[in-house]
Amino acid sequence: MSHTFLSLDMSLIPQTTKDNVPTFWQGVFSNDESRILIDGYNERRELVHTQKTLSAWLQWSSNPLETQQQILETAIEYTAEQIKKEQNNVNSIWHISQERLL
Amino acid sequence: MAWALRFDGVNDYASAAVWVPTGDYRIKARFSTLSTKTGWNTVVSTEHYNDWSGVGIIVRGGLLQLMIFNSVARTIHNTGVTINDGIYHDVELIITADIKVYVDGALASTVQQLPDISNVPVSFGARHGNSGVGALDYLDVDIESIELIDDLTPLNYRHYSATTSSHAAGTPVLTDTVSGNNATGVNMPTDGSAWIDLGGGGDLTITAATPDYTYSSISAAIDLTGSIDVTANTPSYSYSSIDGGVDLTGEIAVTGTTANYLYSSQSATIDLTGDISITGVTPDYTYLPLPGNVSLDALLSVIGQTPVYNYNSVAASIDLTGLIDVVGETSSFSYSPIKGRVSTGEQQEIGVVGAGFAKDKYLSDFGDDVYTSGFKPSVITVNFKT
Repeated sequence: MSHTFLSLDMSLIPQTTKDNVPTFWQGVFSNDESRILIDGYNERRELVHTQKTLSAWLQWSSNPLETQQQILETAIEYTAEQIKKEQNNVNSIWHISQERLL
Repeated sequence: MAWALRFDGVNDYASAAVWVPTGDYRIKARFSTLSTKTGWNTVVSTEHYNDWSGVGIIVRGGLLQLMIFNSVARTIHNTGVTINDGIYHDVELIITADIKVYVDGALASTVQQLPDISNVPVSFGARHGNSGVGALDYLDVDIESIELIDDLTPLNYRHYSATTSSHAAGTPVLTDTVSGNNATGVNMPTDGSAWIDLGGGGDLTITAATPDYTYSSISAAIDLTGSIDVTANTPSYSYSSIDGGVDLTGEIAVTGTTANYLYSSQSATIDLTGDISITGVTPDYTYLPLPGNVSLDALLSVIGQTPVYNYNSVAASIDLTGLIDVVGETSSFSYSPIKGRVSTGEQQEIGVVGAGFAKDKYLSDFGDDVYTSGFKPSVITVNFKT
């Protein structure tokens, strides 16, 4: 069972989340650092990250539910195939170079 | 029941504490992938690019490859083995004076370059980033098991088992069943969907040549509840248990040539409740409990040639309650209890078609005697005293 991915606007994510969630910076970021990629929805259109995870991210916010809603509503959703296509596209902010110099 | 932890190849990986082997070591991985990605897409890795150290198992363009980093060189070694067929494969790196790469038990490649020992966390499903932040080269792979084996310090052993891990919602964890150095999933679904149920049954089906199978247990039990079905040549099977039980409740069916079957138990019992059916040539069968019991409740049917059947017991008893039916030539049957009893019930029929018993030979009392016989083409009915 595969899930989609959500590209979130980094400017909408509270600084407290960035400062206090140790795993936040272990995520995948666009090359221009304007967006972060998280897991999105399963086939039943449920977020594959439980509310517990999202609440942990926004626990320092004064209005966590509104912040969460704004972040998710403005997210760009990709299927797995679409995001991999973006990663192979040299012009995309998600491009990943497949080769490394040794 | 087996499980795998699914990595999506986009942003999933798992991370565990640094592992430092003290001598020769091995890395074993059981995984399945369909990936066609051409980066350094990683199954498991201890390597750190910037430190020029460590080793990683990667799948690149569908091929099994290694990343090998040391202070002299950073290289990618291509084994040439196509691994992205969606089937679970066992890959083992044996790192001694060189690196030997085994795929499903067969030597696939030997690499002379050795990796330096790294000091970065062990990474699964991706590599650690060069700057130590985040990860790189995500691989779409289902990982069932990873082992890190220190051959100089056996206690420095980790076995990451997706089957043993908790499959409930929460941060996916790849449980280290030995040392407690669990690997934590990062960027992975927390609704439980990261786990793939591979189903159960435990059937072991082999359709290719295998070098050796060894099942060993220390103070634990080995349960083979599925059938063992071999249709090719195998050199040996060895089942050993120390202070545990070995249960073979499934059928062992061999239709090829086998070298040896060895069932041994120390202070434990061996129960063979399934049929043993052999339609090929076997050199020896040895059943040897110390001091325990060997019970063969099922049919022992041999169609072919066997040189020796040897049932012996030290201070224990051997019960043959099933029929022994041999169609072919046998050189000898040997029953030798030492301070024990051999019992075949009130009356057993030993049917032999082929060379049979010499007229003046017969089987009678039991005790410390050894009875052997040749054969003549006849059905022999033997009454045993109990």
